[in-house]
Amino acid sequence: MQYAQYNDQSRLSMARFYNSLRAQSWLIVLGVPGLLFFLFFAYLPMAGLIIAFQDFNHARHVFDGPFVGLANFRFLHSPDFSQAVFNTIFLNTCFIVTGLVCQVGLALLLNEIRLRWFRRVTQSTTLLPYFISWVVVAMMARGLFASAPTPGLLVQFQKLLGQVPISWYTRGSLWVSILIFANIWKWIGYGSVIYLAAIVGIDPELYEAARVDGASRWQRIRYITIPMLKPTISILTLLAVGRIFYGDFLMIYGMVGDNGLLLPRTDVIDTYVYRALRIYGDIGMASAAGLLQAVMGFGTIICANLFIRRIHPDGALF
Amino acid sequence: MHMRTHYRFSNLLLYMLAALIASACLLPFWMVVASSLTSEDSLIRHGYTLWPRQFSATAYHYIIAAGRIIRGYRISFAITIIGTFLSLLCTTALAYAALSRKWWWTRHISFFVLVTILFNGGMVPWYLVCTKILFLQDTLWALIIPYLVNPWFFFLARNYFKTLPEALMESARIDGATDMTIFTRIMLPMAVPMLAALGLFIALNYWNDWWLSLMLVEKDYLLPIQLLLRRMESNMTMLYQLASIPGMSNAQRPPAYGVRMATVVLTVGPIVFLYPFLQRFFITGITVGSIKG
Repeated sequence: MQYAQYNDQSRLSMARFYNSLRAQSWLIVLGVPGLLFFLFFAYLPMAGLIIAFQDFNHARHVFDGPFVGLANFRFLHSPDFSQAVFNTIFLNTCFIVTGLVCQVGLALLLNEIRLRWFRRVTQSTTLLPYFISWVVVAMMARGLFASAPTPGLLVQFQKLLGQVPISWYTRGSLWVSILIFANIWKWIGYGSVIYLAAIVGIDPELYEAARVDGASRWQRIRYITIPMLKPTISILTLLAVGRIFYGDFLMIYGMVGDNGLLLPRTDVIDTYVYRALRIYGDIGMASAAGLLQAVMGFGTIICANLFIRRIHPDGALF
Repeated sequence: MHMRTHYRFSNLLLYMLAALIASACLLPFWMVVASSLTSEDSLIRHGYTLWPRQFSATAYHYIIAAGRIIRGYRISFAITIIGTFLSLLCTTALAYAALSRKWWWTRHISFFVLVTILFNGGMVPWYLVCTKILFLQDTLWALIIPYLVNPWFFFLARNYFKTLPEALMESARIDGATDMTIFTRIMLPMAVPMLAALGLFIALNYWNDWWLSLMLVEKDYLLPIQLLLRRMESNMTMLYQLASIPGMSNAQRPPAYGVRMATVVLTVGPIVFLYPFLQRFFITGITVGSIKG
């Protein structure tokens, strides 16, 4: 008697299982490609972090390799890596600050422009640099800064003024300014679109009240617009700070390339890891550096998000 | 009256400043077009210009006749079109699945994707997965698959789907519609504005990409135009190789600097051409995507 009951139970639960499978079959079809994608390209690499602690060899499988503990982290002592970390943080900070000032500035400027067509044209042209890749920007940079054999526009201008033109491509210290300027140029339109949208959302009655009270244009900006922009500014800035350990590889490698002369000032963690991986074939070190970056990045993103939650809960990622 | 003129003066200043910034953004584009139409001689002797000293379309002639750069162009088009289509499909499908609260696994999809934003395995394991596990190297799919589902775009799509009326889906379900029917016949048509903006951003990603080919592709017939441009910039020999017309004597060197600028024009061309028509979608995409976070 008991055996018969057991069979009925299991048959029932199997039937339930198959029925539920059929009910969600289309959902499975819809969800599986995306889930597989993240499994392979995001989660499997996370498991691969163990390579940072191994002496990796292409011929062996990932989990066969000898465990060498922290040996791959020797590069931490190298001055090159510390320089790369410093550059990453320094450049990113410069990008965040200058980007913020210029984007908010442009948004404020556009807000004061009354002629609709003028505002639209300005917005369109400033947004255009956002759409091109850094490789193209690098070419444009050559058109401005190259010295030889084809002098760029800036170099020609200096020659016109009778000065000895600056050799931009051999002096690394100048490249910090070039990169900052390029970053501003590329993102000013994009950022100003966001800030302008936030400004447009400000209650016009506040401005009316201010105008009635006799506030000048600049006072209106200082006491209404900017304070009302604080949430948007905070969110975007904190999100950017959360990524402070991630250098923009496409930008730096696109602009600087393999120019060794510029490396001391422009090398970031990502280009350092790239060089270790592709040029020196030092997989162990590249993995270790990548692990470090991921851990530090994770820490900063979590902290930044906790901050955002306190200021403006809607903006946080989680 | 005094207030008025002061106001007008500062207004004028603002307009001039805006015009200056806009010109600064446009200047490099203008320079590139003008330099691409300048003769090689003039380029080498006088440098890049804002107006061609000596008009010459030889660079373009070389590009078209040589064919290798055109091939890169075709690769870029192919991966953009295929990639955008597949990516939109996979991303929206996953976003739809993530909204279903009925099943245990769909309820956790959002968190599953969120974690990938916060933490990653780094360049090396990713490269090893692509080459040693998925065997993507030197295939066209290497340039498409790794970008199929971007987590930020996933959240954009999911948040947009959330704003669509739940009641509509419920009533469709009661009428016996399957999830696939609801997805294809109801959600996607209702989400066309979001799809347009998202599609444009994805297409832009694919068109501008040179990372995937840099890491995963060696065969030169599979290189998109962005990577060709990158190689041309760093490597003169590569440039001569790419621009030399087959069957031409080695003595006649292609106009290197002109070719570089002309390739830039070709690369940026489609974007600038389509820009006025698509600009509205991009702006709505940027504001919606970024303010929501």
